[in-house]
Amino acid sequence: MLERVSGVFVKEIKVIFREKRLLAILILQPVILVSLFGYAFSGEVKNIKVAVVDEDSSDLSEMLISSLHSTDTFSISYFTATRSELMELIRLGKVHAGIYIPKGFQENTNKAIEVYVDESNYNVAATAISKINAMTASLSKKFFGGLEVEQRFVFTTKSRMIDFIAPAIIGVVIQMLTLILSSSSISREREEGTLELIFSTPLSSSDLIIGKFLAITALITVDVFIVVALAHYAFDVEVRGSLPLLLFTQFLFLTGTIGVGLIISALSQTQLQGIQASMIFGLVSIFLSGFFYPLESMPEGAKTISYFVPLTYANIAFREVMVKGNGVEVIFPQIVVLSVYTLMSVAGAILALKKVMGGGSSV
Amino acid sequence: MNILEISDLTVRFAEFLAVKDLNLSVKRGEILGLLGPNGAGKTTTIRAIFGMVPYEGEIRNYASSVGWMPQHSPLYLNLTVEENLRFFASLHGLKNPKERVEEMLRLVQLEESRNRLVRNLSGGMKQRAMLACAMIHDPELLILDEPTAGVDPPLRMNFWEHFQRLKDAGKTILVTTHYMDEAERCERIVMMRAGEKIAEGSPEEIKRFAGEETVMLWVEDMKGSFRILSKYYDVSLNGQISISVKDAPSELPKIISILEKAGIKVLKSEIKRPSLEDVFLRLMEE
Repeated sequence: MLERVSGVFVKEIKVIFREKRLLAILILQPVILVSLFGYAFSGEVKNIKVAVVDEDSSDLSEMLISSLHSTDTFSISYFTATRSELMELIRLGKVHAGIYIPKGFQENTNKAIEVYVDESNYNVAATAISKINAMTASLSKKFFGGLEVEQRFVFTTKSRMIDFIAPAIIGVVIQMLTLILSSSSISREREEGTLELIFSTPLSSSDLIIGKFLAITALITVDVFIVVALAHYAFDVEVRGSLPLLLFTQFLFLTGTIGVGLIISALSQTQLQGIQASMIFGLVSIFLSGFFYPLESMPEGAKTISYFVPLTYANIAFREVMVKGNGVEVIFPQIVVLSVYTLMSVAGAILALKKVMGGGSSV
Repeated sequence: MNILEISDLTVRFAEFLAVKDLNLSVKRGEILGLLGPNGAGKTTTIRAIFGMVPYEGEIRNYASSVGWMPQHSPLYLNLTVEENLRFFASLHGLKNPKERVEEMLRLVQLEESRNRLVRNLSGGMKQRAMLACAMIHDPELLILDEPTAGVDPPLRMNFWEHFQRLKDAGKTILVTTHYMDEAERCERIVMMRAGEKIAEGSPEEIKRFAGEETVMLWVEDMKGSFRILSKYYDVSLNGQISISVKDAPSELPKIISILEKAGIKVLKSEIKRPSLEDVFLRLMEE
């Protein structure tokens, strides 16, 4: 028995060591995943962009503002004159929170600071409120009678976590479904031998990629409708903006992700390699897209990578439309990026397949 | 006139030389057999023709269309036979393939199984379905890589009768095979060993070129004849006298004359020609 078991053991080790790509994944995957999990769950939210309206211009308001300056949780981006300007900045996504200090705040301690938070980003909103409460509590000790803080939530009528994270969940679901379907599509044909056979016909790389792209797009589009309908009807998730606009941005995101899946598939020798590589891409996207951790709080290096992650743009666009009810005028940059992403990834898949198959048949 | 010309073809896989300086031409309208043991480079040569492996040398194709039947019938397992045929028809741009699909199903005798998933077919049925897909666009040049592997003898015969009909209709076939009876049906054969061409010609030419013929004699004095003929030929004694010669018809009168001069009467003589299998095995051993 020992001989047989050791025979199987040696064979398995040899087979894995000779599959270079699988070996690379085995080594890289734990490094990437542990780093990302550690990074996502051990950091703290920093550099929350805030706007301030200081109608009081008193020592107390000065102290509050300097407290905001002194912490790295907040980054004061704007001082505005009115509360409505502050609200507009939040609506446009230029800041995540706003602090309104009313006239007579120092004189009359019954007057409360108003804190406006963009609840479309749950982590940011929770951190902003808890930090401001801590700051005012600290200042209260110096001022007899204490300070009042009123929380005002912007955009939402319901304070449920699902409303804030639904857009991101939908993005992640679309990404996972798309990658699973597309990343094994070409490698499966390679494994089964049909890829060489169809390339002996007049079929070109672009014919194959475009055909597959359209088929997967049709299938995932149906999935998108199911996901949005399920979120709405089963979990009462609201789409405050235009539903066609939301579906359009989701369509752009899924088409671009299909392109990425097809690139992975074209470069993978086996289905297993394709699925593993796509899982790495998917997880990196989730961690760096702002799903767990706002972009502003990321270290510069991670932030730079996140700009190359399509889910980042998709999450922003979905959140703007679903939670804030914003339209094309706000998410236009994301639409442009996602469109470019689709074109580049599909072209990349065609080039990758051409390179791997040598452009197909020579006869 | 050649339909396919291969010049100085070399295919390497890292350090391994799979095909070495192969020169090969396929004449329009012929059936050319590529013969060789496993690892001889037959399939690699075919894959090079389709641009599936990087190669050195030159491959010139003058056919307007080419059909390929690879080994192991890589069809879409979750499609039916008919769906596979229709798919390949679409890849070749056939506008209205209905009649052609019916014709192919009839040809490979899969009309009854048209709606069966390929994954549920037997090995031989898969081969037949693959052949039908390879021919769906009525190609001028058909390249078949061991088309009858796993096919039962009656159907093998049926396949070859069809290949002959295709040839009669002006089509060209390049076929690899392990079966000697199939190789005998080819007009020309190219034998390969370890990536190199070792013989080329019609089956008869190859047998003459590479195989020695045997003259068998039944005589009154076996031992005396053996002693005399051993001076001139490679002779063996096993119930009769067997003499290995290059050209038996021209040597037989000389042999009889030598024995008659020695006073030995020849009772019966026969000429035995080598089979293609004899030649094949001999060439592979060299």
